[in-house]
Amino acid sequence: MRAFFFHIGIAIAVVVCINSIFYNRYAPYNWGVHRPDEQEFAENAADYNLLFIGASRISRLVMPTVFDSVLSEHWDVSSYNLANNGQPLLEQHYNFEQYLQQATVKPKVAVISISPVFVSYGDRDTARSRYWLDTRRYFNALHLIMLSWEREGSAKTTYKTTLHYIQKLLNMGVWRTNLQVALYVGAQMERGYVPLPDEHKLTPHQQKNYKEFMEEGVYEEDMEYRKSVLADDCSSANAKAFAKIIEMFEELAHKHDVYPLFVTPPPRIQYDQYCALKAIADHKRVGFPSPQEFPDIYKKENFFDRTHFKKHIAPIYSEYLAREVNRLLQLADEQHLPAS
Amino acid sequence: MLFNSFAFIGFFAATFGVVHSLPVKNRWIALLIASYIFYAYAGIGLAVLLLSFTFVQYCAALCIAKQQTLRRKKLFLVVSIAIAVLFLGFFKYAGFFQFEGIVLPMGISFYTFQILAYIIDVYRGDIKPEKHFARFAVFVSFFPQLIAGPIERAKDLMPQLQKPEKFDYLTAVSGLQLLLWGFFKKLVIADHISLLIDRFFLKPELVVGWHIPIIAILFFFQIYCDFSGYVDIAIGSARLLGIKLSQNFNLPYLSISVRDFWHRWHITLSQWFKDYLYIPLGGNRVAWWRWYANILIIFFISGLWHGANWTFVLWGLLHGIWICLEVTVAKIYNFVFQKVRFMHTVLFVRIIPWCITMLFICYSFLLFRSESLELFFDLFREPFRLQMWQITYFHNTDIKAFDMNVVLSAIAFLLCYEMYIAKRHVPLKLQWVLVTLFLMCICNFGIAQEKEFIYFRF
Repeated sequence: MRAFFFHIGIAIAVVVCINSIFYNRYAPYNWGVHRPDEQEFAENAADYNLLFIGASRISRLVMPTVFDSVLSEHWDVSSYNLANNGQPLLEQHYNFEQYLQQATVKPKVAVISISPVFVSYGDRDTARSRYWLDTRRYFNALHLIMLSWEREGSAKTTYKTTLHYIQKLLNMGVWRTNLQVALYVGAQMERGYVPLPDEHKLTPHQQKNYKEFMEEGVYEEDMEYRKSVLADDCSSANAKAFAKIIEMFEELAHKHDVYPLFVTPPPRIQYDQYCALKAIADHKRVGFPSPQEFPDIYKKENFFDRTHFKKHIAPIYSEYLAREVNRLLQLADEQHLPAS
Repeated sequence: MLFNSFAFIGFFAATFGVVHSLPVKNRWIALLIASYIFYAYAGIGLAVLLLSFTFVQYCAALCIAKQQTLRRKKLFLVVSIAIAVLFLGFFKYAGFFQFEGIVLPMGISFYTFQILAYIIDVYRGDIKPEKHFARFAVFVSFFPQLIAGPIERAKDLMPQLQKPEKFDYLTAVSGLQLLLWGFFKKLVIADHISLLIDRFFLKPELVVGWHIPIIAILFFFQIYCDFSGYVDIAIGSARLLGIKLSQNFNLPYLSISVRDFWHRWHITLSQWFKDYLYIPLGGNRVAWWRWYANILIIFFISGLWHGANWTFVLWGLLHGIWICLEVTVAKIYNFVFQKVRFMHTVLFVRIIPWCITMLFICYSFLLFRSESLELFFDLFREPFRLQMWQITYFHNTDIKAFDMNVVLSAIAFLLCYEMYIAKRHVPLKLQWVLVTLFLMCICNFGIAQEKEFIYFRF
């Protein structure tokens, strides 16, 4: 029996190795309709003419209904939040590309977040991490399986998380759309917007993070850093990797006649990505809401953790974003850019 | 519990470990507990129902065996069959009579038929009744084949369950290979085809004439891979536990007549009908009109066995009528062309009959997929509307090239593998290569959505 299990182990190892070598050679994810929520999205996707592309901060912060209501005075807009938790920029690019290839009616505008800390996990060599699965994330799966119990503290969630990582390890149709993530976390979704949980629903891991943030001087440290980044002239920034991915987004958008706008959502800011945003033409970027302009939203009690605001900030930020997008679209319209 | 779920993988690994760590004589206990856990996963009530039904039939078999006179044996047999038929009918055909809120227990048609075969075998004296209730319960509930067969006979399965084979490396490798092959058929082929063609049944207005033959062929491969995939997983996992189950399929896509098809498709059900219904009705050793009536009765019941819907009844009857026609045409053909050598070449004896048979089989399976007779007739009529043969671009139907490529390549591989590799002795190293290949395809191209097997609803 030992030989039998040993050979099974070898077979699995061969599969994992081949997958890790060829992880970027094929795209096994299927955009077919599997569940009622996805079906609802698929049926209405043609109606959405503005999409939000991003990671968790966009997913948790941008409410399409609020956004549309502000913009509706000037534009016939119907938006959908296609952002997804934990996506590096290249994964976002891949999902956006897939969406544009599949969509029967293309959106007119895409608001693309360049917020994630990583261009890709593991390394910044864009050629090596073409798709959602890159080497670091791939092999991290093993480590994360071991950590899942400690992080989540609930058997059911740990079980789900473990399966999720095993799926990743074996490249089995893992969640890739916001819809699937939302179904996984059991959140109520509204056109792709996934609200953060209330305090009493936090997992032990989230509670620990929150406590650290509130009590150990992390907030104060972050506020100082934020101010210093916003005041910097970007002379010592290394935004090459971000510039490359922004270029890829622009090429993709141009190919499909979509007008791209770039945004860095609060609260977290990183020097290199902020400088990459600043390098984009004024009429294509939504600036970071600075702590001086919006002191209220940066109050300590409004933070969910280091990288997210609590859910009551979502409508405030959505309004801000809508006003900014409106300004940029009007600018584009006046300059006869292909936005209107 | 679905075979294509992570829960099953964990469950099976645990069962495998426990079964092989016990002495051979006690393994049936682990199999019994595992089988009831497996079934109770879908609902405790269902497991209680199965246990109660098993107990009633266990008592019935003992009563039949105890009777001294044939008349009394027959009386108990009739009572026992009536209970089984009522049990099946109540849960399965409640829909026919508009009863609401009755849940169809998974695998009810399969385990009821398995028990009926046991009861009749006891009545006929072919086997002795099992006196140990728990040993009988494991025969009824053995989890790999509980939900969708193969329908096993007591004389084959019971002795194996009481004394499963010891672990054997070569048997285990072949079992694992078969298990993964089953997953490949289900997750890579059947579920992918489902992605392609479900949209047509959700939105029949998308369908134009030329889609119908494609849908029919694809659905044939879907249902074949779904059902035979399940059976392969069942046989493979049973083999890993030291139990040998019967084959249920033998390359049905090579059938040259519908009769031939039923010798290749769901073999254990065909055999069941033959042994317990067709032959008792007189088989073909009766007047020609009774023979035809027997065929129609068998296929009517076979259709009804599949579910409480007129589509299944019509499906069964169509097969029955077609076989009657085949019998008649074969007689006339042999009489008329007896001495015309040309008419007995491969073209007329194999290729043309194969084309006609497969066309009929594929079209008849559309009845399986159609939720109502109206939808089936709409689909059936579509190719005959000439204006519907206009060229329509593939992307209008929202079919993805990637899915289509996966499906076509996988079907090509399926045909090659089943026709040229699976039937032959494969060297051990090649078996491990195949195991790795299947695993890789399942991981990368399989649909990890836990889609239910089609035959689960029967």
